[in-house]
Amino acid sequence: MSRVAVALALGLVVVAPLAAQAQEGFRVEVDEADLAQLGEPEGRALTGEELTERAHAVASLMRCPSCQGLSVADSHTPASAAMRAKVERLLALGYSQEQVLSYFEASFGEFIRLAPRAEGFNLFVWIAPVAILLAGFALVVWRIRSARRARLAAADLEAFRERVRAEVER
Amino acid sequence: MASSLGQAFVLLGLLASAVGAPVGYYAGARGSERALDLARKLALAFALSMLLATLIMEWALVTHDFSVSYVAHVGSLATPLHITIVSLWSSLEGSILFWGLILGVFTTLLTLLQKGHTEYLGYTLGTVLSVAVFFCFLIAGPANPFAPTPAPIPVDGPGPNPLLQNHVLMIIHPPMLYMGYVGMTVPFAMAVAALLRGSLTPAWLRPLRNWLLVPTGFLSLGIMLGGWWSYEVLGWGGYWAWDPVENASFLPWLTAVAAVHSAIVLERRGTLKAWTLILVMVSFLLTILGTFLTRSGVVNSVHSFTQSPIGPMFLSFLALCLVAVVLLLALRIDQLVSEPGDDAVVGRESAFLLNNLLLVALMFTVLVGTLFPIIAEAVRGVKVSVGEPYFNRMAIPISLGLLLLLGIGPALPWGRTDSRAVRRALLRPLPAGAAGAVLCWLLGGHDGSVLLTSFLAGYALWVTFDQGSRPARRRLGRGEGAAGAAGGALRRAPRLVGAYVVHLGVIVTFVAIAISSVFQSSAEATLAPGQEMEIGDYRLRFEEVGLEQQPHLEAEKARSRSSTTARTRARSSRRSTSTARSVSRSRRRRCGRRPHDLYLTLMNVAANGTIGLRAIRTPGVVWIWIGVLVMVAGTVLCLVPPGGGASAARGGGRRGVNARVLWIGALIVVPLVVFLGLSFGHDPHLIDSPLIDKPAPPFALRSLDGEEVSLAQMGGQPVVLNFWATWCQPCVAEHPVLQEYARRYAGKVHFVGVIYQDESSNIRSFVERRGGWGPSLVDPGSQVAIRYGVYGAPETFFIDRDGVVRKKVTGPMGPGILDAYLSEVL
Repeated sequence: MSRVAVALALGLVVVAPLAAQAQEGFRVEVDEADLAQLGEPEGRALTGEELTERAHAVASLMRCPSCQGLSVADSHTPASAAMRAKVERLLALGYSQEQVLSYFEASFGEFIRLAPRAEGFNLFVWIAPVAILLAGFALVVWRIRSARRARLAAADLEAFRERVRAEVER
Repeated sequence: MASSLGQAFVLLGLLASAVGAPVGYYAGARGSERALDLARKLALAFALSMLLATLIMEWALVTHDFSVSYVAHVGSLATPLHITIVSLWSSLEGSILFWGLILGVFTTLLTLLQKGHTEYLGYTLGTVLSVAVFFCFLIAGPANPFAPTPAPIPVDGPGPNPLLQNHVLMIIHPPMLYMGYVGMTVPFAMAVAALLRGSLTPAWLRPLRNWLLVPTGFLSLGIMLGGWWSYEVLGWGGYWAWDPVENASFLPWLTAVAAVHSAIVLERRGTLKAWTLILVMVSFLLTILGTFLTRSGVVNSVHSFTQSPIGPMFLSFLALCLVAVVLLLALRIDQLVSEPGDDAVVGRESAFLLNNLLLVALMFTVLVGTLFPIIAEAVRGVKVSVGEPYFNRMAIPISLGLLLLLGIGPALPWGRTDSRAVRRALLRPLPAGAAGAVLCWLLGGHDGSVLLTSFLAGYALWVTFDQGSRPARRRLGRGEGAAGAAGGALRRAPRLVGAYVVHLGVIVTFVAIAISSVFQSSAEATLAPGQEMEIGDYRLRFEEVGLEQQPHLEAEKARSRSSTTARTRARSSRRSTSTARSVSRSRRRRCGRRPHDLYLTLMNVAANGTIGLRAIRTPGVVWIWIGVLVMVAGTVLCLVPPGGGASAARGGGRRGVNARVLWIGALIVVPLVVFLGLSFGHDPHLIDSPLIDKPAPPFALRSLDGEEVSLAQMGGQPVVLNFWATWCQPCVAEHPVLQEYARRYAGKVHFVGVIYQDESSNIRSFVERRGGWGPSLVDPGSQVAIRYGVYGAPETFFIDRDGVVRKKVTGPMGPGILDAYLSEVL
């Protein structure tokens, strides 16, 4: 099955550059070196509107190399245009989002990902805000509860005093 | 002359504030009227010195006195007068002086407007003047704009940053942010005064809240103008990129807004005293942190400021303030007792608590995300990015929670309520929410998040109008006319009406952000004159390319005409490059009636007369600016003084040091300062290549002469692979060095150049003029640059004879680096 996918992918390599060329003005190649690095496609080959949408979504997860803080999807430098085209080619060949991102990470480094991969030390940036939110929420709930309890206790005490007063008077 | 006079006034300001600060504290501690009077005079003296120093700088700028170093740095004879005037804040030294001026203005306003409260005012002036000491010290020393220019004195200067000349928003946006940043000093000082006295009375809370509202309003305006500027000038069709510098301005805004809300609870119930003061002080500390991030160059940012020596100064100041605040809290927190009485936390109060929680959690998220690259570099030694996808994923749910609270909070009754009343209050606005969602669906918004946003917005809108119009409706019920009732409500309850006007602005902004991000569309096309492209319901027709010359600004301009079905609109888009500096930005220019939601970027002009045009349609984007303006208008309304008497002073809780505060404070302060300190010396622009010690990615490209060059044919010789372009100044600078080394190592090392984002014709004529040093390979579609992970030009890879990448150099190389790295691959 996966062999078929690779064969299909290789077949597409021949056909697809023509489309890419018409669009971006140059050939987007996926050669043996790329294929060796990418491994076997883990997703399903995308086409049409779905492909455009996914390509935009994946490109917006990547930092434009030669701009400041912009994503590949938002930037219009030639390098970003080329990277967009490559993302689209790889998705069309059935590579998953993670495979595409890893492919670029292999040459650009972790810096290329605009959202840090959620593993190892990077988990801190994902978990810390949630932890603070939950801890704060617990604090708020505790505060509301304890205030209510204090009020009820005060009411109880008042009722008790009232009873004692009544007993004494009798 | 101007140089020494300016320095004299700065030193005078330093003297006045350095003497005034202890005098103010003395007045606060001893309750001495005479000392307070002296502190007031010294505060005014500080403000006056700042004003005079700024005027001298302006005079030097306008008269082109290049003997003043700042003028030599940003001035130019060709710059128009209005740009020359505003170039005061176009560069670091000038903007610090401007900062001092604004602090002077706020100090003056505080001294003259704040009547009474003498028991707090001494401490307040002392604290404001302590902050002033720091800024005067910066202006006098490390960031001295008045330093004399070393001889020979130039006859003309380079002119200010071209970005400043590009757009009027760049002129007005920084002052607004500065007003917000600097203005935080006043509420901070008032909070410190409350802590020093160990009591916070309602009478002091009211001015504190007003002084907090002023900078918060300026911050709203500054942030909005920054987004607008981004949208108009930076050329990517967006307004907010979660850039570190943008985040830095957002952080204090969030805590200030939280403080404004907790102050309402404090006013009503007498609780949350320490918490409100903490929020106020944190807002100030965050403005200092923000300035540090902006000015120290430790983070990657669009708003690229150069590395400057004041980074460590700001860090030290931040550390000092943090320690002082923590100590002060530990000493005094137990003295701030809640007012006795009904402290039941129910109804609207719990909504306020949740509001504070969400705002602080959002602040924390943005802070962690902004600082994480610094932390990760210190801990792991790896550069990571934290960008838009992270912030959107984390911040949008929290923001939606805030929008939800914006609806249910004001709907809840104050104080004790039975659950039936709560349920009734919460159910009533539901139809409005449903109507919002249905409307959104009908307009084509089928996305889950935008539907939720419109539901929450509809709900909140109903509650806002219902609550905000309550005073007016009460008057109507008493038989007043409509106009009279509205006017009377505004006069008697400006704060309440103002607060709901702010809420209205927030709702509008929320909806506009949701719509503009969900419905944004873009199109790119290569157009010959007369050709058309379509985006949404716009049709764009490209007519001609013209060249526009301005003093200091040379621009290529492409005119295009667009027509919708009924009307014809003309608009143009142009790309400008400054002749004096290498910064270039695309921007569009208004021409006739231009639809606000259409953004055009001229990407290139080809030799054959065709242009590459990118059109981005962002519907509803103008409503973001309008929403924020409504928020600012509401803030102003909140500042109108309402009638009402002061209640009795209270104070005196337990004395002593609160160890818990010390521990928590140390847990926050120490890591923050350590990580920020570790960030020095790391250039955020230098990224390690993961290709080091890995096989070099293969390539086979054609050189300009048509000869095919591939890595495989290098035949066991080391390769120096250099990515370069003619538009890149450092590449041009290292060109002769490479020529020299290519000659010296001929036959031993292959020197190969790859053209990075440049036209072949440019390279060809450059090589004809200056000579080459090896084959220049054409890289169609930057395929090889992508494979080598090139971030910019020049970048050079050293590949050994086994085809393994050994070294990578970012930026231009000198002989030293080349010698060292060549010996590694040989």
